[in-house]
Amino acid sequence: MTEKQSFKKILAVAQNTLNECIRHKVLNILFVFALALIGGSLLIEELSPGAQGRTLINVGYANMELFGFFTVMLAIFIITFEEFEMRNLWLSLTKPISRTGYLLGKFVGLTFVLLLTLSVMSLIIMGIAFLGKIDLNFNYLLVVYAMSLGLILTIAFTLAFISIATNLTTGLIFSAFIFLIGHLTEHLQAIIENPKTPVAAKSVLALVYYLAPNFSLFNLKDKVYMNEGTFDPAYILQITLYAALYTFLALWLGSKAFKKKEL
Amino acid sequence: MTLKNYLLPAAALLLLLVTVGTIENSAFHKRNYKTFPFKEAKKEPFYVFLSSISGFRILVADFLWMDAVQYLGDIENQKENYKQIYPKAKDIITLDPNFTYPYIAVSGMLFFELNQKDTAIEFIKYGIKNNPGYWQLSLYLAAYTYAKDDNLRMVVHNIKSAVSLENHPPMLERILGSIYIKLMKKEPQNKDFWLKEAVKLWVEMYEHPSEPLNKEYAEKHLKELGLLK
Repeated sequence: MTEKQSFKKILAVAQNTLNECIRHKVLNILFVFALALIGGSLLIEELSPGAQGRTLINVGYANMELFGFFTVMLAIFIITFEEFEMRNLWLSLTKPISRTGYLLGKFVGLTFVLLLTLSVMSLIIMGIAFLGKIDLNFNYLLVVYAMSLGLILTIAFTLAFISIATNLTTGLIFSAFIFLIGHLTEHLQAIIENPKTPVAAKSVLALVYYLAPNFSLFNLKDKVYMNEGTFDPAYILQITLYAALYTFLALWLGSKAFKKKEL
Repeated sequence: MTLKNYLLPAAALLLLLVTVGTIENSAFHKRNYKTFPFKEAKKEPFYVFLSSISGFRILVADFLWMDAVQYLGDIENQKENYKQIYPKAKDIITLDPNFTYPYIAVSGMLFFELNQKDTAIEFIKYGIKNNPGYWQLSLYLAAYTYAKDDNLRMVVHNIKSAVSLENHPPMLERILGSIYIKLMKKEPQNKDFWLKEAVKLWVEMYEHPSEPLNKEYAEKHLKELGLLK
């Protein structure tokens, strides 16, 4: 099998995943709900004199991140449930595609779903900002970009956990737990450096700090008012590399586990 | 499985460690990723801490600001002299020290309405420390310092400059009106001049109110002077 053929197969699985998600009603309802909430932020801004534009954009960022996360989790749950529990996976694996290729296809497909969702939401926020004459600079796009990196990484390690775990629910719970821990890392270091922290606790926390993906690195929405001008491009490149390497390692681990998994 | 299969992931892991080191030593990371000073929060330190670690620090600051506005808008809270406004404001600026509007609005309230002059000056100074590029805060500090020294002419000068800026707190216009009244009593020889200034302000407030309360305030004074029926 040539590289080109393998790539085509991965894309075919990805396209199928995207189509499945678009057709699924639950995901569509979630998407409409997210759009309604973004629209609802127009009402919230009335309650925030002196900070109307800022509140509207901040609510938009939060909606994008939360609904991006829920979309990813729900899409993975629905797809995996249908494949494993309804035995659809057996049919797919009779085709000439490797298990690694199949997992990569699912990853690419879910990434498409995420990017589609985020693009529509960010376009709506940009539209609202334009109509409300709110100044959105280039940092807006960088915040959304960094958010996407974090969520793509979430897809990768969720797929890895599902491949490793014995059942779907455990994998998803563990993945959500890591997502939360990953946001704590900014403050975890302060606890490790505190001289009052016991040595044993320091070691455990240091292990968590270095093993768990550091999602606070992608949280540029909380840093947007701390910086005048555009975010440092070198930093954006560094977090892109960080996300790419972590995603690669998670997918590598996931594919190893998926190859050995008894179906 | 051969050693060769592990070469690529091992190289990726090594590169990942190098990247983490580079990120942590970058100027951007050092400047923006500091330990969160949650102990500075006055009202709900634990809640403020939780908001910060969840990655929604700025959003929660916005919601707390809405809560503070509701608190100020409730006339019932006047009985307790709005004593919760300062702790509430401290929580907001602990979460987001670059949120400039609460510094302006709350310090004005503390200084002119609640007579907590030193607290207001300390609060606005904290704002200047965190936002050196936002020059409007220095204007407010100047107004408070002059008012504390009873130099009402300089207070008028600074507040007039602040009122001419877009997005100033509407309360500031009412404060300016009150200072004109004080000046009429303090300088009887210039009473006509200050009255003229006050009327000019009240007419503007009545015709183009920044908020409904400003219109009511202007209407009351214009009626007292017999300029409005």
